[in-house]
Amino acid sequence: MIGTMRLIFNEIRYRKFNFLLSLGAVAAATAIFVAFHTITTAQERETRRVTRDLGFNLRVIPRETDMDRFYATGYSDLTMDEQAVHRLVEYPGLSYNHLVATLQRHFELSGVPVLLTGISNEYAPPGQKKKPMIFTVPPGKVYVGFEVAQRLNIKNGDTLDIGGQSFVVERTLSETGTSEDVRVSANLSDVQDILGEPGRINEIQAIDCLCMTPDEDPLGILRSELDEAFPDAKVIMLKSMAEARARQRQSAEKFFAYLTPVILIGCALCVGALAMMNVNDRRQEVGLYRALGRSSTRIMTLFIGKALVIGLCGAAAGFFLGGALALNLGPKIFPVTAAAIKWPWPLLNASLVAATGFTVIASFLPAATAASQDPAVALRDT
Amino acid sequence: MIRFEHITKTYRKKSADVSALADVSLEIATGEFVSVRGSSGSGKTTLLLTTAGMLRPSSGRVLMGDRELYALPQHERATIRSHEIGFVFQMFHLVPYLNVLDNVLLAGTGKSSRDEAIRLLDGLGMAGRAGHHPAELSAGECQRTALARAFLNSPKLILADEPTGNLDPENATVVMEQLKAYQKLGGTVIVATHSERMDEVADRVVHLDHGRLQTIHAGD
Repeated sequence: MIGTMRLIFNEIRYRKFNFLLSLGAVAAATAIFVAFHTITTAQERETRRVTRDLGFNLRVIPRETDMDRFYATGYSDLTMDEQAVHRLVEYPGLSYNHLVATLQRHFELSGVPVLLTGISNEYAPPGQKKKPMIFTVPPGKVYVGFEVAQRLNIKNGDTLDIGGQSFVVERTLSETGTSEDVRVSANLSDVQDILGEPGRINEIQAIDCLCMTPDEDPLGILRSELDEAFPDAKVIMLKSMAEARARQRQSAEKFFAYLTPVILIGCALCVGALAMMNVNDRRQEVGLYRALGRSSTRIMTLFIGKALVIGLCGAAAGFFLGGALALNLGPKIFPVTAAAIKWPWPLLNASLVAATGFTVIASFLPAATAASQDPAVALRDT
Repeated sequence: MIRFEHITKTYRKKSADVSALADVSLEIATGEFVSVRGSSGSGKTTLLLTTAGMLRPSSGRVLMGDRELYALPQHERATIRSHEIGFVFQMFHLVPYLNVLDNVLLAGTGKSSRDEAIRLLDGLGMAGRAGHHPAELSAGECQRTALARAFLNSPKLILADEPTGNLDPENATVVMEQLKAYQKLGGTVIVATHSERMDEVADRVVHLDHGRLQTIHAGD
């Protein structure tokens, strides 16, 4: 008696072309899945980074702020306790990241109106290590916006007198075309001293992932969260930025969600058609097995066993092919987060299981056809 | 003993029904060598497949000893085929990706050994070709391999469908002699053929014409 595995491997060796075509179809499906998954993850990461770099999308200000003046001046006239930022950071359940407390006021510097801004260190919720989004200004130093630097002829390393205190210009910033160009940024405690408002801030800036579906109301959720944590404050969302980010992420997910089934169905049809061709090629062989008294189960095992071999080999080949493709193309498409694109090892087991299962399912009908084939018909076809 | 009782077999085709066997009744004794003669389409292969439990007749009974073949479930008929029946086909039906020895062992049921397969191949002058694949063999060598496969389990019955149809006279003689030798060891042999040469070794010749049993006479 010949073992089933021996029959399977001998047949594979004999019908190499059929095997290679089937292997190619499974490998292609797996490679596309792995590459798309890796690249989509990279795209999401890149989108996150790029939209994050656009700046904060949440502003937490004192609840009683006059919003007309807030939008006219760009900051709240009211202040709140600096400890608010720590309460917010430590409050469980909030999804904010990159929290920064600021105190801003219009100020006159050598006759030039500037937006004096004190910036605290950046805070992340406990257990979340986040790379800082913004610069931190050390005490005694300032960052000077482009327009201010131009008008006052300020250069890096110059000394600047602000409200009777002396500061070293750490950096003069390049032109942005926004209010940043008239901003002078210093450490929060320095600005609190200059303005005579120790321990006070008038805004907490933050970023939130806003990872919600279109039917959810992120601002409503944020506000209800904040009401509980911090009743003296209210949150404003920079909606266009937040929505652009959410839309970008959702469009990537949709693309993947629609494309993947199309590819998988296409490859399943290829594998099924090749398995059916294989059954057809082996009609007389199957007829012989039946003549020799072999059971339908044994005959199905030959075809399903072959599908298992194709699935496993195809999945492994496809995983490495897709991974290599993603590693090669990913950094070219997403240069900002290129370094974060790595071999998608977590997908290996999933690829092996899914591709093998998918191949077996695609081969099931042809295998069942072989097992139920009338041996008399096959043996008469000579 | 094998007994056919009023066997009919009709193939349902789109255009019309085709009668392959029409009221065939026949008894074949244990140890008998029967040649079933007839032209192409006369129903010879249908009769063999019906005997093997692979083709249910439209009506009638096939009895193998005291067992009514088509009253048995399919898996029991399969067991009978694997243990009690050996097949030889005109087109040999060797598995192309297995070598000669493995093709013989394909018929094995577990009890049969590799040594037995080698012994059979040796007896058929095929020992030196055991490692070769069917594509490397002549037609005569293919049929000798098929004979070894049919003999492997020492079946009670050999069913041969045109076993010499693709062979030159010399190889045809070898096959006929082997089948005769098998019969002499106590086996029953039924050969479907259109060749008169099989009459030389058959105990009995049965003529089929359009599915009907025409004449039965003793062999030469």
